[in-house]
Amino acid sequence: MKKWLTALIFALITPMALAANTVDVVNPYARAVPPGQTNSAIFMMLKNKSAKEVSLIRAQSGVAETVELHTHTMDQGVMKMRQVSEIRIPGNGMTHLKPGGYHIMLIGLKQNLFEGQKVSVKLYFSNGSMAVVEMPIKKVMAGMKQHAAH
Amino acid sequence: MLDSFKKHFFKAFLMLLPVVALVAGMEIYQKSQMKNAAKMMQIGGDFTLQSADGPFTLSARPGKLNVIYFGYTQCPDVCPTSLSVMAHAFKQIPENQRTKLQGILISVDPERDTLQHLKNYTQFFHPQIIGLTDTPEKILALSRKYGAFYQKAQIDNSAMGYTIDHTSMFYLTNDKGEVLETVNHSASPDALLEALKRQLD
Repeated sequence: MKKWLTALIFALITPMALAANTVDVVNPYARAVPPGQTNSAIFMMLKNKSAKEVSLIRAQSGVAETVELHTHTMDQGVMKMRQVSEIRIPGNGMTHLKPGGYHIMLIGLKQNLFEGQKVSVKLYFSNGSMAVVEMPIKKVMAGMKQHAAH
Repeated sequence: MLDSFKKHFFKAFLMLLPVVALVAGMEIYQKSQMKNAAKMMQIGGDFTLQSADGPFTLSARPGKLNVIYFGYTQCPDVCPTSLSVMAHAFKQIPENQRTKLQGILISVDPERDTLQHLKNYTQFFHPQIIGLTDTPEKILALSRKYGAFYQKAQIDNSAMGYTIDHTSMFYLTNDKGEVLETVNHSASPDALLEALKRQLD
């Protein structure tokens, strides 16, 4: 019984340990939305501490039916949002998920997102690591001012 | 010597007066011309669309400075950013002038945006923003009059089903629906605030 328990504990810790070695998740937040709204967005800064490029390939959360990775392109004045299969983070570099650009999209919210609450999101990376990130819910403008500060 | 100086100074002053008056006059004229030129944007127009509280006709509200945005509520990033920018710009206008403002979100997604949801959505950002929509045909025709572009885009394998590509711009109009000025999409309320101040003066 003890052996099994020890093995389980290690199995749980290891992915987090791996993630802690490669990607730092900085200032993540989810956007507060009006009650009854079905979609929202999550923004953050991803810092790659390894020399090799790594990608965010998937995300999951209990607050939404589906979580997808999306980006925006501005094509002759027209804003287009499209799903992407990965968000690359260059070796020893960073990628900024911010309004108008990349974001993690929450589709089919199962609960309201009120300012001051927290949500938990699992991030899966191309090198096999996974990070569980707890983040605050912020009002749209508060979040945007935070990005401007960088 | 002082007397001679006084005499010359007075003369010079008299000569300068017409010049100053001319320059001041030209400035005032130019400013008024700019305001009129802006009025000639030739886009926009009056309309009647549906809201959760009944039909809304732009020209039925005299004296209002309308701020119109074409968007939709399933949009997770661009539209909330724009409505938040609108709300924050409104809040920075002094209260006595703020009553003239009417924020309007026109939904280009009538298939998914119900009138009640539009009301909840816009009220979340600011009480002076109203959400309107109508039949797809009416919305399309109106968007063309304003020079706003949008199109449905099917995105395969996404739980969203379809997204709507659209231009992101604020249209400031008078109570006849004539567009006075447009403000491009931005994460900062500054540009919109400047435009509002300009039009409210």
